[in-house]
Amino acid sequence: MHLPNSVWIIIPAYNEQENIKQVLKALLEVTANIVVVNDCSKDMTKKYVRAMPVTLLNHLVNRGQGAALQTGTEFALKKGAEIIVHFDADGQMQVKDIFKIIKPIENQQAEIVFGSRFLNQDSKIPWTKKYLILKPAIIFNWIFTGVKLSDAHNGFRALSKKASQKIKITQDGMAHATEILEQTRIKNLKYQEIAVEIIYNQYGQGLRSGFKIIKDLVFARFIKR
Amino acid sequence: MIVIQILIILFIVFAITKVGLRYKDKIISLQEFILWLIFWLIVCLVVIFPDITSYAANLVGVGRGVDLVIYLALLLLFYLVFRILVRLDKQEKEITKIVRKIALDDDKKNNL
Repeated sequence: MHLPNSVWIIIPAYNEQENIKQVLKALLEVTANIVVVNDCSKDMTKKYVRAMPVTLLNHLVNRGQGAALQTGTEFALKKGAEIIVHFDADGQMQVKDIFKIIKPIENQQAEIVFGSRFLNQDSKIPWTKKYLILKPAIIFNWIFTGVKLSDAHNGFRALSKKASQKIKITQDGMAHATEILEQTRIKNLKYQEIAVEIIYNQYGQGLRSGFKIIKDLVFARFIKR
Repeated sequence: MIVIQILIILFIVFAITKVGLRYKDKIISLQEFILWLIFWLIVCLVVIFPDITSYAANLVGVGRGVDLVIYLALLLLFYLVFRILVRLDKQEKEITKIVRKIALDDDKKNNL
């Protein structure tokens, strides 16, 4: 099965040499519209990606995942993307879920679709991560952005062209996930959640990262009003 | 005059020459130069005649002159730190913009 030609996959990559090759191989089975934004990795990521038939954009200096996503988005929009999918380079997301996550946009039921680990029991999440990090994050997002989702800070999402033009990611770091939610509400975009499977091969972001996200968000709010 | 007073005055002289050099090199404007000059002259005055602060402290209802100076200094510092943070944030955003532009432009070049 192939994805429509108007769908672009954006992969921010920072030191992802472990999994990037397999991830790209799996993705190339379904599409050629792949943009990897290498966020100044210090390992072999750049070399591995360059050897594959995908677009490689290089950040000269490390700017964070949010910045990389925005770079990839601007590129895809210029290429005429109608749907943009955010995908991770760590091999935890499943290519088959891309078809599910773009469905609501294709059917014009939503402008932005969030992958959720909690909608059904697809994903096995380490319990400390689930109850100490993700659940509080969900509540925080709800209070902070007014958007209530069943999952938080899950990098798997799909945006329509309209949504990606309206949402400009200014949070360079990990706080972009909350920023996207906030923008979804402010710009009045129709959103949906779709169950996706995340297979954990590493813990990902821990508590410290969570506190940094809150700091970034609070600071941004503090200086921008 | 006690030792601390002499030390602080030496530092003020040093600071004023620095400000003067900045002005000479046109890094700061005349207004900024005058502001800094006034600031350091006031500090100088306070160091030489510490009793002025007691007078000012009594005026605003703070017990000791030194306390008033510390309160004001803290306020000023907090304000400056805030301004630096805001500026830093702005610079971070600008760096991102530049890095992004280079990333996108490089790709264009490679595909020509």
